[in-house]
Amino acid sequence: MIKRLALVGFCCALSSCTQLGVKPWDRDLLADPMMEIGSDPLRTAVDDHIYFSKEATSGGRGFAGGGCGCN
Amino acid sequence: MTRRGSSVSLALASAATALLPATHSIAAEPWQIDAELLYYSESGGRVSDNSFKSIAQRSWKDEGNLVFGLQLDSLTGASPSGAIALDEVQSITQPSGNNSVVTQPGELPLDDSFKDTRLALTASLSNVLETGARYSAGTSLSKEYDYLHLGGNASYAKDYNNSNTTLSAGFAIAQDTVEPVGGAPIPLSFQRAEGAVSDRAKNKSKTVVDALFGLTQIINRRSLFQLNYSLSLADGYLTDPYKVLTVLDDVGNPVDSIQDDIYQYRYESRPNSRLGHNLYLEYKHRFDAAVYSASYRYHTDDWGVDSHTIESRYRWLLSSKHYLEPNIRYYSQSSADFYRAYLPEGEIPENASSDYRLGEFTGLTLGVSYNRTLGVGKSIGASIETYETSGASTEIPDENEQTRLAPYPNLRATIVRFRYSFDW
Repeated sequence: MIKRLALVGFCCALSSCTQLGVKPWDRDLLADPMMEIGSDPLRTAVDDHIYFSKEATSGGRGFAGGGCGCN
Repeated sequence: MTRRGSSVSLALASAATALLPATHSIAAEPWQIDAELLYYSESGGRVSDNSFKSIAQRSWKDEGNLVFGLQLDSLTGASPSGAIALDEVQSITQPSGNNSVVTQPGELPLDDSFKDTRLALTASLSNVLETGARYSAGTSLSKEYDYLHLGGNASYAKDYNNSNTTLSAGFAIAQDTVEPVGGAPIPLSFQRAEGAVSDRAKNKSKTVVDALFGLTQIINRRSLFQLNYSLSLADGYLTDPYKVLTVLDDVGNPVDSIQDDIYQYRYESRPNSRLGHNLYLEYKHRFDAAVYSASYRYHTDDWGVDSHTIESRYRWLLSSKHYLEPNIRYYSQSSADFYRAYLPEGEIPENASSDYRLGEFTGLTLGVSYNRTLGVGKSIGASIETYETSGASTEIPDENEQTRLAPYPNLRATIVRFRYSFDW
């Protein structure tokens, strides 16, 4: 049931995406590198490594992967 | 991080092309280098890490992007062995089998025998296809004294809806091999006293396969979001060869080993596969003098671990040259089905682990960063964070039929970073 609701929600969200957005000449603020998703890869890579070592969950914004036998 | 300042025309041009990393219309871009020194320290003499990480990237022809990463970690300190604190002195054999650690009554047994240096290298290449879609391919390698990781990944992204919507898909595979100090013990076998010979495997390996599907959507002139679904399948040796569980009798006392002059401890055992799902949502909003970002991640897997992660950052643009950024992160996880603080005498479950990272706990991170632009492509930054966990204690039986608690080994860490970015 939850999976069906999630699927319906995702499809609704996807179809409503066509109503969202801006014209190319309205992208002045979005063009700033600070507005990119993942604009600071160094920071997120280090954060992900720390929490990967200390928590039972990893990934989400990127791959969960493997990578260390962390203490 | 502050990247090279760009003129309005360049910014508009890059924005019109894609949501993915902006590249400028200059054929010969210099290397962009981001370097960071990190100091991570847990209180109580637990783990410390001095780390250096650097990312070097270069763009060309407005489309291609090459990224190299390097990380060097130097770890020292002590990590919980998995055994619980007792009212008696206890002696726990170190992984090498040649020494043991004596822990005083009431103290949490820690293993201080590890000293590790880790080197990690990454490389990735991305470019634009004739169809306008962007692809990337990457590889990763890391090496510790007892651990080797090799990985590869590939992803594909395409813009729709006048470049307001981006759909992406990615795939990653990793092959990790652990060669434990003293060998890999038989899961749930008894730990032997120092000097005793036990049956051990030389090395063990696991394979991790990841798939990720993403949607990035511009909402309006000031905001956008990203929604990712990913799944991860790990297969192989997922046990921690260094962790043990204390064996207690029915009134909560430690049990003498039959073979040696120590108490009974069993090596942990985890299932040999794990399938996890992540749902990740990130939102960004541009105010006149600030950038706000918030993210939420839901995780669930077949080990019974469910977790929620909420993270938020507010980049307060003090001027065009510097900013202050407070951040907060809240994490909450349920325990794995096979997590238990100790093992009752005579009970040998299929799997059991007392690794505190598989228990029920919450974590809170609070921090602040400062960054200052020094010139074209050049900036410095610093940040300080605290990370604290709070876990659930476990009730253990008591001779007087009263409740005794095995406290969760909470950690409190301080994380300090210094950043320098420049063009080369």
